[in-house]
Amino acid sequence: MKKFSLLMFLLICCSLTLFAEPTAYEIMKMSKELPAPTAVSEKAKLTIHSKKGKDRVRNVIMMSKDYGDVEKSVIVFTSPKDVAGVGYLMFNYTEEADGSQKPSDNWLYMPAMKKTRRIASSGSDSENSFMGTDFTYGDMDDRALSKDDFTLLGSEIVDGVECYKIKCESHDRKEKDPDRISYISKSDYTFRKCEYYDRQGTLHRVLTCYGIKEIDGYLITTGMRMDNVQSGTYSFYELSDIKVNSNEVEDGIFNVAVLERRAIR
Amino acid sequence: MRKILLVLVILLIAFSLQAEVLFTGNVTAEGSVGLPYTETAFKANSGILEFDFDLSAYKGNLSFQLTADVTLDGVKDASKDNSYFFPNFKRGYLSISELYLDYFYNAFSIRVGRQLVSWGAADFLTVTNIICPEDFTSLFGDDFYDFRLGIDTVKFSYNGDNTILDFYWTPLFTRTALPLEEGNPIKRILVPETISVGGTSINVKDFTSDDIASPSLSFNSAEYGARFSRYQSFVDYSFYAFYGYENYPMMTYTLSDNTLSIKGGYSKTVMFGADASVPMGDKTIRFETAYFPIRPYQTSAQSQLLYSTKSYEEHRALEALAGIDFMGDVWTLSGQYYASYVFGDVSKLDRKAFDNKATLSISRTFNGDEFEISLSTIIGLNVLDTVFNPVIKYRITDNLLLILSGRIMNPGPKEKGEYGKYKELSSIAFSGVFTY
Repeated sequence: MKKFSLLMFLLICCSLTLFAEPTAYEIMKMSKELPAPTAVSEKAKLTIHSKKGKDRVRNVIMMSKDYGDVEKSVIVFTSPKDVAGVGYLMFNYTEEADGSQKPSDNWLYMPAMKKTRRIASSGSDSENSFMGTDFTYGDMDDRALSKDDFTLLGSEIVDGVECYKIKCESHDRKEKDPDRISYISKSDYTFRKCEYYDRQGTLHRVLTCYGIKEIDGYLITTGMRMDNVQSGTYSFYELSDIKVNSNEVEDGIFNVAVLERRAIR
Repeated sequence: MRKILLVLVILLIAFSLQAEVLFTGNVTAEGSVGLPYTETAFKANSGILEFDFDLSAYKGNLSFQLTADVTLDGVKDASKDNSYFFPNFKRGYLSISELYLDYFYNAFSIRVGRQLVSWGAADFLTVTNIICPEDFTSLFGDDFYDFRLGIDTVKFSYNGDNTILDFYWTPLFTRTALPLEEGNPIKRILVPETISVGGTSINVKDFTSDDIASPSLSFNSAEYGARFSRYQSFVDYSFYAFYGYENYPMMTYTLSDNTLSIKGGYSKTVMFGADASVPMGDKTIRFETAYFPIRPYQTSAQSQLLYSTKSYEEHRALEALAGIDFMGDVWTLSGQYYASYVFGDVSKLDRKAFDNKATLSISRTFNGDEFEISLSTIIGLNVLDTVFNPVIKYRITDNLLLILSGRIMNPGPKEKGEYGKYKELSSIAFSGVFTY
């Protein structure tokens, strides 16, 4: 009888372990660690919708490659014509085990001035607008888990997909949007939606992801919309011509000379 | 005519290669009137219609580039009775900024033809950036193209990992563009009708481009340049070397029958320079310096006429600049300090041994980059003369931009100074730019 009770107890413990919900941190970690291609080449269409109802469209070519300790990216505007040829070169360094991160290296090539300028980087840069859109550079970055505390708030359906609802509280309370509520798909751990709250705790922006496709075995989000509920503006970010681990993304393209020669167009 | 033929030939080559062709350009209409306190108060002193275009063709490792503009002056036709203060100086003409063929193989490339080259880390001010001649025909502009002339050169490059090495061989000399066309308002200031020498008023004979001699075409008159740049996490740095002609021609003044005649000619200079950009938190610090073991300096008209000195003296000289940039979400701030020093006895020169100036630029964007206000200033610290250039830009659509700008020059309390002498050209300008 004693043996049976012990066996039952062990079975219950195992079942609880197997079927228990992961913690908020584990969910965010699984989402962050989804397989990602080493090199990506894509075209992006950025649509900026102003408060007055006007749409402005920017088209860019983006290429990036992950070298382990550093991710190198190059972004070149192809339209509108007044900014065509403007290029960014960025080296984003991976976070160290102790949570520290080397500042990114950034260069900007301006065809009108025939010059490449060194652009400073800092923590606050990540909160700057990404190319005049409602997205910030930080939104486009792979945010380190060590920067936030996570709390699982429950589940919610987003666009027909059941998601974990997780509160992310930044350790740095001086950030423009120190609190976020993220929605992570329960089935594949893809990021589906995020609500950004400002320092006063008021809803500031809402990110919605769509067009999640499997390309060469990788789950790629091809569309994002960021609504700034406070200003009434919104921006779309749509990807096309996505090529993963393509030979097109050569090591040699991540340098200033490529921007100056306008080799990416 | 030769230029047009050359364009046609190269276009033919580009298209026959079935190249990928990119074409873009702007139509700019600009008008400006003098500020109330100037001689040109409320009178039009420019009315320009400019078509500029950029044609690029790519085929494999070969590319072709043409950048040119055609400028027409609308005020010219409207002011045949010369009722405007300034008759018009800009005629309809084709100006080619760039026209070259580029071929690369792995990390090596060669570029042949007219090219614009920008050296150094400075904004507005010139330290090492002397390889392309300057365009002094107007005081204001938006792009590098507005202030520099392309050089007819052969560029050999090595583009390694974060390293660029360029060599320039420029067999054909390009003259600096001076404001000597009839009607250019700047000419009235640089070449006055009379000057005073030793208390005596002297008439000045009309001075035109024909009075400036260019170096003859020979192997000895070729110019050479080199640049080595390296881009690293903690610092970007470059080294430069130049052997060629000084930007400004040296003027020889002769007096006959109480009339002053001016003749110009170009003299050689040698420069070694370096620059560095260091990112520090949310700011970037810039440094630039140039050492001239030989540089010609203009002697003053007074010393030439009274003491029969040569038109120029060669001196050693040092120039340096330090700047700081901050680029925020909507704010951009930039400040620079520049100093130059000419070694040796400068008593006969047309400048002081030590010169220094500072610049400050502030801009802010609103509603994305739909609306932008900016202010750029230069202060000549030797005599405290200033330039203020406030600009308001409103982007109606991606293709249509409206610009309202002020161009305000003020002399120093005791002397006019390099910028203050243009006070009478202070104006307000309105322009529209259509991008196609």
